[in-house]
Amino acid sequence: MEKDDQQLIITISREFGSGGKEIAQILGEKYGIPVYEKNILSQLGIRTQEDMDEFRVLDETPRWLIASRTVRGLTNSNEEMLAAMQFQFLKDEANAGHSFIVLGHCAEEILKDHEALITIFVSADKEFKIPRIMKEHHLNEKEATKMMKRHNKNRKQYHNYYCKNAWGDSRYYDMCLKSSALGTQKTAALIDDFVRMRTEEKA
Amino acid sequence: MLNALAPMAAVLIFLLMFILIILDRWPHHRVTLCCGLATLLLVFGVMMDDGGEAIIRTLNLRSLVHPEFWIASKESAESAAGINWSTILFIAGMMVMVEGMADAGFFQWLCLRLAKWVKYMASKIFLVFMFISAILAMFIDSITVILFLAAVTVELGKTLKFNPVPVILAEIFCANLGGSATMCGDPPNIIIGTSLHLTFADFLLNTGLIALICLFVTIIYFWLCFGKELKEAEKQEIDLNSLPEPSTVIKNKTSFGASVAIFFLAVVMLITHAQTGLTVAFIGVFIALLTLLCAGRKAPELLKKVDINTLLFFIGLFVVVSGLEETGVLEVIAHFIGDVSGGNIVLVIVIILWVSAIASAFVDNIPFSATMIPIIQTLSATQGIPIHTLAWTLSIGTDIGGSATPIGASANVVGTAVAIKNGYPVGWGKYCKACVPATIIVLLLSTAIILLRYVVLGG
Repeated sequence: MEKDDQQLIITISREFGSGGKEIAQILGEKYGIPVYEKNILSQLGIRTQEDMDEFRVLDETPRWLIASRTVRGLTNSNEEMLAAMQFQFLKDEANAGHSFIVLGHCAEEILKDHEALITIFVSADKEFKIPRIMKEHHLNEKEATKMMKRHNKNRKQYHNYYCKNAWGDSRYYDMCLKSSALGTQKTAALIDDFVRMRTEEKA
Repeated sequence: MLNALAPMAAVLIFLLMFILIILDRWPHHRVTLCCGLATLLLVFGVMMDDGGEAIIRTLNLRSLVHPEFWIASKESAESAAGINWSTILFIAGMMVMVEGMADAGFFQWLCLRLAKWVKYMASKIFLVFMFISAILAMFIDSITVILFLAAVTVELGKTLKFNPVPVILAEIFCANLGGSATMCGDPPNIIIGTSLHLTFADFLLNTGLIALICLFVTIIYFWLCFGKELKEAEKQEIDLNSLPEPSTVIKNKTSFGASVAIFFLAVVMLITHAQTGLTVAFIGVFIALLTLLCAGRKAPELLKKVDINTLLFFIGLFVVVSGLEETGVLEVIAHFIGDVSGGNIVLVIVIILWVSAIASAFVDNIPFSATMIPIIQTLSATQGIPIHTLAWTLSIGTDIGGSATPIGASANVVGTAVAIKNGYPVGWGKYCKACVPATIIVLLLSTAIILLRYVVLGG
């Protein structure tokens, strides 16, 4: 991929069920730039499907401290090593001047030195998130609530293990919004306005 | 009143240290140093009313100026209490030597030379690397051995199109086994050897023999598990042109020759140290100075690469363990083991071997063995069991048990880390599926050999 004329990097951190992925996809299509989430794995040169499946389970999961150790700066935590590989991939892409949108993966801190960076945090009301989770994962309300809590806990632990700033702390994002206020389409449009104003200002 | 609380405080500090090491949230040397400081100040300084005698014994600085510390006589009776400076100086010396060898390209050259020798056949590389892993780990710390072997295995795997994970797992297992064979192979053995005044030959003739028998069984086991898979990989078309010639990894022929000569000198000095009287502390310092002298202007660079944090980890650890020893906690544990076993030597051996192995599979085997030494000393004194038998049992238990899980020994961590870093995930499932049965087989075999040799045949 060649270097983009005006680089644009959008990081979207999101609560589970808030529609962050949908918003990222709308923006990705609008700008014609890739959206990275679990699909970063396919960019890491993992050779076999078996290994890919193993890494897929570990994507954006916190390190289980007692299951791994660090010796001379080398850790055998699969979670931590995968995170390091993904962070490096994002840094390489950003340094190469490419534009992209990335969901989660601590990107707002990993890429904080890049001028083209715009950082977003998307949350939503429970009433908005639960029906979406129920529909997408074919679960009842109780199961969806349990799943939401588990995923949000994991995302928070994962983020806060690698980052100095706390997950969802408004001081560390350019824009924090609730997708439940406007729905995912209009939220994407609102972010688009923000992105446009920011890029015009920089230009 | 405060004196009575000292054992409890020592236990709490020790448990805190272990938990913090397991959690792996902070560097281990900071954990042991902070806990060591707490032991010195709180347990020895505030709670124990002995006029600072325990602190002096624990810091053990007097041993450094004692001639016996450097050249031992037959009547040598150095105190085993406190910081084991012999272990620290020896490990430091070996670290300098190994850095010199790595800098000269020795390990990469050896791995590539062996791979070329077996005509880059995956199954033969598998067998040869298992052997060389065990042999190198007898003299060099297993972390360095695995660091280089695993890296070369991954590169060979990519070019020769074989899965490097089974080979790395087998290398790790054999490195831990090789480490158990000698006094300098594994940190627990260095601590056991220096604390109990054992020689290199003592280890070689006892744990070495057990390790040799177990190595053959291990190689057969891993061959049965993965040999077919690697044979299959050999059928693929491969491009050998991308592999570097072994000689190209030698950066400087003079320093390469010097580092190999120093290594062989170290091996000779270790093998003959019982005859020459040179202690491992002397050998470590001498070899380090020789390496630095040969390195010339590169000496400061070599020194910078030495893992000072590991040495600090040992210092903190020895102080915390001294807290347990000075307050009599370890004596209580020894009496408990004695009571449970009823003085039955078979039961004591089985308990020490299997408890050490199971504990070492989950917690760092270095603090474990350091803690167990005073326990086996008390057991030997109170139950009349030969101390050497218990030393070999402890050594085999801690060294072999550490192979069972990805966190059991440092070599396991480094080997699996190299694999993961190169895109080959090695989780607990994959690791344990291969290594737990191997560990159990080797432990059963070791138990049988120890019981046969030291109980049935009487040594």
